[in-house]
Amino acid sequence: MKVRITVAVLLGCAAVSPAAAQPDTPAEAEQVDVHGTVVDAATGTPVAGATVALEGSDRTRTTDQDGRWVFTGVPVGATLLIGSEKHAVAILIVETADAGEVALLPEGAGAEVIVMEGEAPLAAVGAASLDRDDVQRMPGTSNDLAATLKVLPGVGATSFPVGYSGVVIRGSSPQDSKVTVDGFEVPTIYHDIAFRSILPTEAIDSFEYLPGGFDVAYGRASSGLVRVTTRRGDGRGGGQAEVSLIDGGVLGHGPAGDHGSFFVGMRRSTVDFILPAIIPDDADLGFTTVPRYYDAQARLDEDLGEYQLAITAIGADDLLSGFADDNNDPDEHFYTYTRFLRLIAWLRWHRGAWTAEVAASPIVHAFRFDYGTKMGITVKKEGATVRGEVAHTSGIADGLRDVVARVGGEVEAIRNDIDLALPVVPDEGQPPMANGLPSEEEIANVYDEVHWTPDVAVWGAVSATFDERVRGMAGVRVDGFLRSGDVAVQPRGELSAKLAAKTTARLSAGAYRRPAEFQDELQDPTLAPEKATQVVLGVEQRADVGVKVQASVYYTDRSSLITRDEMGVYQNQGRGTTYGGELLVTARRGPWFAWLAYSLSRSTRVDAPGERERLFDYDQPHVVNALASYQRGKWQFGARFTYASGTPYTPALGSIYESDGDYYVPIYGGVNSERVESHHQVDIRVDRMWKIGAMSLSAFLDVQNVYLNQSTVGYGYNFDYSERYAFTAFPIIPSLGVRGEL
Amino acid sequence: MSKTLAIALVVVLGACDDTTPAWQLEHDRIIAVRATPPTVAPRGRVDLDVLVTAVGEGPSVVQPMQVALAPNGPPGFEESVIHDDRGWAVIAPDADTVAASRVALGLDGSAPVPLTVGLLVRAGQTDLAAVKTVYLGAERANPELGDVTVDGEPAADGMTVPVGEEVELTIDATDDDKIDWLSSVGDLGDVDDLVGHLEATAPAEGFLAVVRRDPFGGVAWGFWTLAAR
Repeated sequence: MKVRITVAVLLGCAAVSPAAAQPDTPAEAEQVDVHGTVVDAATGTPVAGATVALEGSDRTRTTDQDGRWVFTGVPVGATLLIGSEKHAVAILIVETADAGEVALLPEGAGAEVIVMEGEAPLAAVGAASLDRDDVQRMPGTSNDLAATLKVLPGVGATSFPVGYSGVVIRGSSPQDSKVTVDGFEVPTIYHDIAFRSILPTEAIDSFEYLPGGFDVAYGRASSGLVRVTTRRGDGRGGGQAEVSLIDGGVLGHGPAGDHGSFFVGMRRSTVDFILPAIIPDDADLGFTTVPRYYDAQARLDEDLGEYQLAITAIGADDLLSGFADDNNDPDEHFYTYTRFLRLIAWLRWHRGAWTAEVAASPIVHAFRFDYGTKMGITVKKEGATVRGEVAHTSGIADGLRDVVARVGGEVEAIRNDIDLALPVVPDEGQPPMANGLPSEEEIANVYDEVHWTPDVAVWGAVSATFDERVRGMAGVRVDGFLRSGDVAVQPRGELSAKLAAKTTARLSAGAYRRPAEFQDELQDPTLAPEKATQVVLGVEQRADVGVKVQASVYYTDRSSLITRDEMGVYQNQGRGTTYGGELLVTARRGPWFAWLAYSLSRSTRVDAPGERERLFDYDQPHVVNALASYQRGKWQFGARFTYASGTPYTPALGSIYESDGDYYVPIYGGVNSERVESHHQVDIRVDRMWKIGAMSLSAFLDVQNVYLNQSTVGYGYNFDYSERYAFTAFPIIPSLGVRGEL
Repeated sequence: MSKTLAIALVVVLGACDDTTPAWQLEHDRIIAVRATPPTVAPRGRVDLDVLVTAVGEGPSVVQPMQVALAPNGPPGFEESVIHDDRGWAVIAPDADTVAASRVALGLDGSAPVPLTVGLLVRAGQTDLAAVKTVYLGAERANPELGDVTVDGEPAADGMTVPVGEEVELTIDATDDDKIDWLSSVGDLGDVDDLVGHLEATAPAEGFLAVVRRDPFGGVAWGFWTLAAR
């Protein structure tokens, strides 16, 4: 989690007004007891009697004769307003317990703004975080969260989002990683059409990427996590409208009562107005419903002294139907929709050394996909998750400092209504369906059942500082997957050591589980969760002001991987290993923002005892993302270079003609024994800002793959597998957008 | 749950498939394998031949280079595949062996016993593999091809079709039959219907072929030279 420590002079604002704005605090933020000193920026002398106020609450503190102050139970990421009768107000965003020295400029010192930036410790070794502004600067992402995930070290460079999480983390399968929004999973992170994120960037505050080694409070994933925090309404109010060639939306935010704020947003695709015009007349494709999507977000925050309440609603609705030929053949008709609505309500309480949080989240989700007249799947899910956690912080206990003890629990119950008649969907490592599209002759999976998946989890952890340089955490998470009857005990721990003033090393190890819930895994109630044991060693070096270098190496051992046996039945019989290293260099200096991410990875598995080792579907040995963005006046320019190894695939070596059925049975080579071509591309982005009265206008042009180096996604074959053709990504993707903000 | 399928569909639709279509005769491939007869009584003989096509050569009927029983076949049929002066053939065993196989496979008392054979065939410069199932213990003949017309005229060598006009291809068969039209001239549509369509956009010379498959493994075929002018 990135936290900026900002000291800024607010013109003519000598009075501290803590309730004037709401703190921008993630729901799951850790709390710290902050202390520091206030001095006069001009003389360097301590400022006695200065007020330190927690923004968004009525809690204040006053500095003593030495300018010192202590504020207990402040959420990391919260804003403190510091000022006095003779000084202008400074803003301090909480990073760690030690806020250091805050220098106040004398009242009327002018319009000078002093900004110091720092970062809080990352939530896991190798983690990274980006806020809304960062996402909106990334070239090649069209302001989109799902696309931005791919610049992160350890994330696979795929041409479009994959799985439900949208990301491949450290060479694993996409279903091994999860995306949470305000602490809860969402069914998918991207729209089926255009692969845009279901959350517009303007509706998020930040997101945090944890490629592994995450906390005991999080489960159900054996690889990594992406934690998205929605945007809290600004108490001063405002609105925004944006339209691009892909979608357009509006949002508004403002105060709600004396202690609250609201945020609402809605977006609709615009690409459906454009698609009919750009699809060639001779294309074997016709839409009966032009693809379109909606998404909507709302958040209400209320600060009630010791209590904080937030309610979030997010939803999406995608629809697409048409014919995969130009003859309107019913056998080539396709129809698909995805809809979901998730509500999240959390209440947080803090008093002294105690903090408690309880959250509840119901969800309704429906997905349907039909192809032809006989094939299709309809999935309806309804359920709820309830979660709670209590934490106690001790300054000193048994010789240890900053001892934090936490216990928590979670209960989830989902009703799954599944009705399907489909060919067997290729699993991880299996060759694609013959000739690409499913056919009725291949229907082999017919299922129509309703069942519940109740899961429970409890966890506990203790973290403490041993001496000035070493801090440790030990915890355990126990998941109970009640449908399969599996109980998974997952110990996790981390040790961090400050090697030098700006250098920290961290070592984490832990056990993780991913329940059997991907695709048709839910059909078998006996499947056990997949297991992973992760070890991560990382070093973080703050090289200069605004410059940070992170490097990590990792090893993951996987077992009980779900694979099909020779009869096509799922079994927990696979094993796998992943190892690699990651490097991330970030620089934020003045008008510059630069980012270099490199991932080295090898991810292999054995699907069943006695079988040959093979690569994971998304194993990519090398992925490089280098980008720079520069702001000058009302202009902003950015460019990004990406290089990625090709993903593995299973080649078809030939075929056998089945003469009675008049079709060809492919003969495949070794599973994932070859790779598609590696790919490189350059994306550029230009932004221009205007100020018209009270309105801020901005426009951006984002062009992906400017030198038209079309990437290969995979290969298909002709009817007898004697010829191969490539599935390729778009050669160039221009995106133009305009935004107005009040 | 199966979002992969929806995504796969979008990706497939976005693919640029410029490979040879299945109806194109300018391609080294097996078009059909014929067993004569497809179902034979005990001790009867089934002769095997293959319709292939090759680049620059067009369709032709050839003998397999090699034939062998497919693995995991019914017991008692190990010596059923033979090669003699007439070519490759399957000889049905006696009635007792067929009856024993019926029992082993759980078939009805009079049902023919399926026996799958693998064939190796050369088409042009390419060696190709195919499998064919023959039925032993009953009697059934291959279907007749039926009357075939091109633009209303009976199909025959040397026929012509006009350039730039869509012409109708018809075959006198039943809806239970599976039809495959193939050509090396123009573009074909409705290639698996009783009425197919052919349109040539430029003058060309080549072949037209059609295969009729009945639901019992029976096969009939025909092919003719064709020109577009």
